[in-house]
Amino acid sequence: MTTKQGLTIAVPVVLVVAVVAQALPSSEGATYSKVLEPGALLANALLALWVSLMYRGALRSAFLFLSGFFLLYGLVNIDSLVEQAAEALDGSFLRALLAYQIVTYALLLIACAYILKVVSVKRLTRRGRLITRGGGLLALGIVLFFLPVFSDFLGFDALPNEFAVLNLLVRIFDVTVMVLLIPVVWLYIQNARAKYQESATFTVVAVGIIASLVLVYVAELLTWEPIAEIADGSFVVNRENHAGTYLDTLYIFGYLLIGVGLFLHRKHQEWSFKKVESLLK
Amino acid sequence: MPYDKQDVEKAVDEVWAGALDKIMKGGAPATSRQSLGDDIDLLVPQSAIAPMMNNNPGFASVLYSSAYASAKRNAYIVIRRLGMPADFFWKFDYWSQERAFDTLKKVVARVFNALMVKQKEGVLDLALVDVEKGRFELTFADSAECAMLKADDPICFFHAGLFAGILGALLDRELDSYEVKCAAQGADTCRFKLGRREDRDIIIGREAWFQQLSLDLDIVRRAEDSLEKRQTRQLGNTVDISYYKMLLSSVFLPNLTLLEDTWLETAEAYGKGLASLLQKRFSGDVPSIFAAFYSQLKHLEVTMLARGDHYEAAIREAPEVAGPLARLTLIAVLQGEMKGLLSGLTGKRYSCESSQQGDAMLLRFAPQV
Repeated sequence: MTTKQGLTIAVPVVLVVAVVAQALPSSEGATYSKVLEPGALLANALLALWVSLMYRGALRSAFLFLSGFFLLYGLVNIDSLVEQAAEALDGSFLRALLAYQIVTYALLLIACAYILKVVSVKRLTRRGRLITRGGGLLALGIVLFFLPVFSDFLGFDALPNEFAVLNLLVRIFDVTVMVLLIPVVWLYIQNARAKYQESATFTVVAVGIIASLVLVYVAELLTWEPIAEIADGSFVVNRENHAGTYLDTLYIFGYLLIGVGLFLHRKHQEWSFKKVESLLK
Repeated sequence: MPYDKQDVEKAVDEVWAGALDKIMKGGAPATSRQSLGDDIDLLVPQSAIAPMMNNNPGFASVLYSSAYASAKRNAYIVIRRLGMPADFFWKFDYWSQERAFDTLKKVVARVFNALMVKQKEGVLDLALVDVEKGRFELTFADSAECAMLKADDPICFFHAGLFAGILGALLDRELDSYEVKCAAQGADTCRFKLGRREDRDIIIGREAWFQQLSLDLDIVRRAEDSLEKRQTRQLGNTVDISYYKMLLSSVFLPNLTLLEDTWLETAEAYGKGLASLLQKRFSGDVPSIFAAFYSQLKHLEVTMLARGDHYEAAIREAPEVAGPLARLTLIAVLQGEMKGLLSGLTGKRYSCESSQQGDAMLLRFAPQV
């Protein structure tokens, strides 16, 4: 098995597994998503930890912080755990959740900073810089699209202001990470024909992170329908998480893609060397 | 005669590809010499280098940089031909110490050591990796470059360049190296330190190595060892012909314009120096001494005819004019050596003309007035 073969097999499998969430009847789809999403994230935490052992310095730190991010993000995706926390914390739950999300995203942003330290962003060509700026515009669009919803959330008495702030912050963090990781993906494309290439598997991880964070917003922009909004004086969730909708399909696809990327990144050398061995007498 | 750079590169690449074929499954069989086979006495490659180094210490630098360029270009081709992906050594600077050492050691052992052992060039091993400083140490046992030679300083310039080129090609960086211990000095194995070209310790080590160079390698005594079949290497007293071809194609072909005259002169002096040794060792007339000497070294087949005081030598299976090198004949060294040998044996100076006749290279020696 080579990494290329691994990717060729794994990506369609991931796609099928992700689509199943939507294809199943709604209650089964919901259960499927409730198990698979945190499961994939927690598995990613372990995989990132495993990968971090391959490196030292900034790259080890990057994978360690990624691992921490996946762990916290995975835990907050366990519905029963969140319900218990909500019960226990009662009125201060949203504030606690806000703090939790900030810590979670801080881990991801620190990981991205380490990644950018390692990846030679200065080697980006003019086109690469343009693409990154394009990503910046998309990020701006995603945030701007939310601003009217944000202001509705703030003015809606039934919801505390922390809820609105949490939603805005998550969105800003998500698109920031996307903008930070676009150069990583573009550098791979830019050097795809070079003698010494960027890591394909690491790029898959970056693509997975971007996909899991922003695909839902892209869908939101494309359908021009907010994920949640205040309509006719009440809070309406247009696409609910863990309900077996296409939202879950996108999340599952992103999370599993990250897992595949991390696993293949760890196995890349072993498999590649086996191929070399097989060609030698 | 200057050669086209592309032709030279092609010849060098073909020599490397031929060597790789020998360790690859289903590799195209390298063109062997039909009667002499693939082995050649170690003395042959050594006698191409040692007299040049005695003559001009600056040759060490040519040897080093040519080997580096050849290895940097071809080690990359080797690993790609073996299917190693272009991101195999991605972000090597950030690898854990253990992973860097284990992986590099495996690649060196399985690919480059296999290639060198097959060529009976030596036994290569990675001894140390310091990822943080970007430094490496390699050991090279039974080095074909210095085996049975004696020197006060390390003398494996070809391999120092070769190893820096190989690791540089693997890791996509410019490396330099110097030899810290050499079997020619009496060490068990040769040991090389490698590091980034801008690494101060490497610069100092390398400069010191090149600057203090003053060699007086006794190649005639070394020839006596070969003729007496005194064995000191575990790999034996022969090397695969592809090592000699690699040396010729990497070092001499790209620098032929620069080296040809000196090469001819030093080869002639070496040939002259050999004469008395060969007269003691072999009996018979000049043609039979020639035939016996070159046949014992498995260097080439020579059929020599004496026409008065003129001599005509038909040479077959000479590595200098076979395989990828055939288009780019390297007969200067043969002409020089044979002229010198002939002068030493007959007491006359000779001029030499060469021509191709069928599968043989004809060398015509006429006494100089």
